[in-house]
Amino acid sequence: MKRRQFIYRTSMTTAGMLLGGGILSARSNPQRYKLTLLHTNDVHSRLDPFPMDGTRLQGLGGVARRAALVRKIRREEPNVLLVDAGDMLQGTPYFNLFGGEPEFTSMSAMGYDAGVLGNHDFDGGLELLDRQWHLLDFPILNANYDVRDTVLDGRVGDRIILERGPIRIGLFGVGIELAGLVPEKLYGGVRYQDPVVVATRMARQLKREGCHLVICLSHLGYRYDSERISDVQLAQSSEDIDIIIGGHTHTFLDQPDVVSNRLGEPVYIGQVGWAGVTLGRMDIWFEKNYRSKCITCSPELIADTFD
Amino acid sequence: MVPQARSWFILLILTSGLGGCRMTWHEATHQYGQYQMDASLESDSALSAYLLPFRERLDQTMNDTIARVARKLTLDKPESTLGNLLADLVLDEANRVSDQPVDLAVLNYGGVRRNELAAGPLRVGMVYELMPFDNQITIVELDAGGLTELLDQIAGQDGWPVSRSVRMQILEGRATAVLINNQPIESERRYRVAMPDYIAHGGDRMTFLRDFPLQYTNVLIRDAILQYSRDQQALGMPVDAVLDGRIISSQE
Repeated sequence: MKRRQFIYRTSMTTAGMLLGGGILSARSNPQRYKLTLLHTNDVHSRLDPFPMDGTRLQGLGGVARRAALVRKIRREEPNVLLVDAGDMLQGTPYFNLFGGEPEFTSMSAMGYDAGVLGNHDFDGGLELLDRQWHLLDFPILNANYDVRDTVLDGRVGDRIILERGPIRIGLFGVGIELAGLVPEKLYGGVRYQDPVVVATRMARQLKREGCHLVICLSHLGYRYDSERISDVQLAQSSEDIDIIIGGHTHTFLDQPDVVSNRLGEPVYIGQVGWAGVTLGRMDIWFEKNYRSKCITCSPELIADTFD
Repeated sequence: MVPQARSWFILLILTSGLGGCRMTWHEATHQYGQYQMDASLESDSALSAYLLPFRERLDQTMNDTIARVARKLTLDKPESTLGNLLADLVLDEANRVSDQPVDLAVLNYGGVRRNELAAGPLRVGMVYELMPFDNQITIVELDAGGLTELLDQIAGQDGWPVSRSVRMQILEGRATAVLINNQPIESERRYRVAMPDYIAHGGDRMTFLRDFPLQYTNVLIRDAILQYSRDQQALGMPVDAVLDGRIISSQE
């Protein structure tokens, strides 16, 4: 891994446009507003950094570092969102010994805004999740899991709307099919529903509720060779999702995949491997104008390469 | 009531008409970057302090060195050193606890949770990270058709860890040239296959396995790894494994 720090290789033109509004925006004079979206996925109980033992991810990760970094970014940026795309639990002895307590407490201390349950979050069973739920002070969103017949009834949400200044951000979550992946005795009673159908409904509803940005937290997986539903497929079949923060496949995407939805509009899919060795950051500038479409929109991601 | 309803209706028309002129927010520009969470970053002292008692309790049980790993062992497809090590020790443990011979062992690739086992001291915690699940070794009795189906599924997923008693080639997603203990699969024979209860119960899309009789050993795979490692240490031997061509991928 050669990547060192957070480096933007921003061209002068781009930087000028971001900072001063640039030529295009000078003409239409829109107001600007910036949102900073931070994301993790598949942290798998990796509370401490990997040991320095010569393995590929040695020395990386750790929640105490993430907490300090997130706090620093929150000092620098006015509007920060921090989200996770599932499999918070299972993978180090912390989970075997403490059943998720330090994982949930750490995430709450870092001020996560929302998360979604991944398949391994069921590894301790529903009763364990129920017992530890009070440690979560952020919402867990699995819109396509019907949990009404389980102890998680009333705990798992489907969507939330967060307001950051004038911007309304809608978030919802979708989870992977548990049958065949998780032993039934651990998730029994949770009914899986088609994530495309549910996501379409959720995203439309959030747009109707006045959201300027709709983010899907997904534990479906980035992409598959087979027809299995993935983030790429979900993005292609969607109309109202702007960003998918994904997980499950432990995919290291150095930058978001930009996929066209049914209307030909871009959907950004982000995923940052696993174990919390990377923190993803997307800065989104909004503009305010009288059009139904924006004027200074750049369909491509800008300035995201690393040394 | 009627006049009131009409005024609401007019207001509705006005509002929707105005919508086109109302200022709205749009996503304009996206910029993306990532932070590598390395040692150059500061740590949050409050969270470090919170974690300390958990880590101390964990270290009491998880930090014991139980063996030495001879060289870095890795998990890969179609065959790998780490996969061979685990499948072989599961076969040996199944044979030790069962009153009848066990022919082969298979592990689901996704059930091995670390891709690497570092050379040097093997600590209990590393074994937990390798096999965090409380899965137990289960012996499933398959007929020839069931065994062929299992090996084809494994071939279709580019190879899972299998024991040294298996030789097979993967050709276009199917298992060919199969030998079990140096013999081709016999159509009238039954085969006893050690595997995690997770796949014996149909996990990892192995639903067809549910149709076959099974026998629980009540030995957790993780405990088998721990015991094997301690036994090696007692013998003055390291934990080690080599590739022997048990699964070969034939597609070019």
